[in-house]
Amino acid sequence: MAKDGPPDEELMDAYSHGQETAFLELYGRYEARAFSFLKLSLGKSRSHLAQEIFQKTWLKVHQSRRSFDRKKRFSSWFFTIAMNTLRDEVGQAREKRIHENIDNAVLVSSEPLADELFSRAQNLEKLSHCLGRLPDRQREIVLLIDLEGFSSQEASKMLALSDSAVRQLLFRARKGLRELFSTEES
Amino acid sequence: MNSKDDSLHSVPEEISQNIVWAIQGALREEKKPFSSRLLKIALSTIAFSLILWIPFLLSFRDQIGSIWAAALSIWTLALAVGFSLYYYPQPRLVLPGLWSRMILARLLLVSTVTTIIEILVCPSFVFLESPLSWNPLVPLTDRLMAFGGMGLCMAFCGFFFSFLSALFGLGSAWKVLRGSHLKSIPAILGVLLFSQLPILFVQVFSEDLRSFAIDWIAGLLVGTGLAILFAFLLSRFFRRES
Repeated sequence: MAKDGPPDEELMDAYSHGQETAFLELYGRYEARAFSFLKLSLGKSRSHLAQEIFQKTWLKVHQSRRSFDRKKRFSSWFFTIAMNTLRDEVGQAREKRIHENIDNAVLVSSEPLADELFSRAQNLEKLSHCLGRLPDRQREIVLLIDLEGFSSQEASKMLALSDSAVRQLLFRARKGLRELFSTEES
Repeated sequence: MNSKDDSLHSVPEEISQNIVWAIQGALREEKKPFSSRLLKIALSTIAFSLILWIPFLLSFRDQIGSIWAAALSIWTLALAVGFSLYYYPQPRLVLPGLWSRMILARLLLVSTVTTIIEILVCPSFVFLESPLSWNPLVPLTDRLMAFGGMGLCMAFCGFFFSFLSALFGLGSAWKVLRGSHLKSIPAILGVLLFSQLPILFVQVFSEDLRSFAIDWIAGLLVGTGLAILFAFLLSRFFRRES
C-alpha cells in the first residue's frame, strides 16, 4: 500500500468503475515492482520475456478488474495474476518442479534474509545472477516474501501450496541464496 | 508494504506508454454509448459487403439462386460478427500469444474476404462460371479428375481454398501467432471454419454439389488443420531464430 493517497483497494474499485486517474495511480505504484519481480523471477536467461509478460499481466488485470474483491488485498491479487501469467508463458516444464520433494516437515524460516542479502547485493547484476541459480519455485517464494513483503500464508495462497511447504521452500531458498552470495564474494 | 528497491529494473518507456495508452483507450471506449459502436459495426459491415457483393453479383448474377443468397447473408453475418469483435471496447495491444477479440476479428475478416476473393477468381470449385475466372490449377484438377473422379477433385478444392484463406488469415495475425500456445488452436480453428460456413452451406444445400459435400468438407478440415499446423511450425521456427 502506498504511504500517501488512497489505499490500493479503493483505487482498484474506482478503476473497475472506469476511472482513468485511479488506473494511472495504481499503475504508477506497481509498475516498477511488477517489472522487477518478473525480471528477477525469470532469471537472466529468460529475462527477455519480462516485457511481454509485464504487458500481459496488466491486460489481465484490466480484463478481470470487475472480479476484484475489495475486501481482499490488491497486492496479493495483482501478484497472483502476475505469477499465473508468468507460468502460462514460461510453460509447463517449470510446473513439474513445483512439487519438488516437499515433505511434511515444517521448517520455520526465522532468519531475516531480505535486508541482509538485498543490501549485500551491491549490484543488481549479482543479485539477479544468484536468484537466477535458484530453482524456479524457490526464487518465486523468496521474491514474494523477501522482496515484496508478503507473509508465508499470503504466498501459500498465491502459489496454491501449503503454508508449511512455503516455509520449507523459503528456508531452502534463503540458505541457497546465502551460499551463492558467499561463493560469489569469496 | 513496499518493495525493497523500486528501481531494481525500470520499465522501458515505450512499453509503459503502450500499456497506459491501451488501457486508457479501452476505458474511454467503454464510456462511449452502445449506439455509436453499433453504428460503426453497421457501417463497416455494409461498406465491406457492398465492396465484395457488387463484383460477386455482377460476375454470377444469372447463377445466384436462393441458396447463394442465403450464403451471402451468412457471410454478411460473419462480417458483422468480425466488426462486433473488432469494435468491442478492449486494450488495443498486439502481443505474441494474445488472441484478443481484436485479433480474432482480424483473422475472421481476412479469411472471410480471402474466401470470397477466391470464389471470384476461381468460381469453378463451387460450380459457378464467370468470364473473368482464372484457374491456374486446371492441369492438376484434370489429373485429379482422371485419377479419383469428381470426389477427389472437390476434396482438393476444399483443401486448397481453405488452406489459402486460413494462411492469409493467420498471416494477418503473425505477431500474435509467434508466441501462441497450442491451447489457442480451438479458437483459431473455430474462427477459420466460421469464415467457410457459407460455402459449407452451399455444398450441403445445393443439389449440384450435395453429392460431393463430404469430399469437400474432408478437404476443408484437412486444409484448415494443415494451415494451422504449418503456421504454428513456421512461427516456432522464427521465434527460435530470433
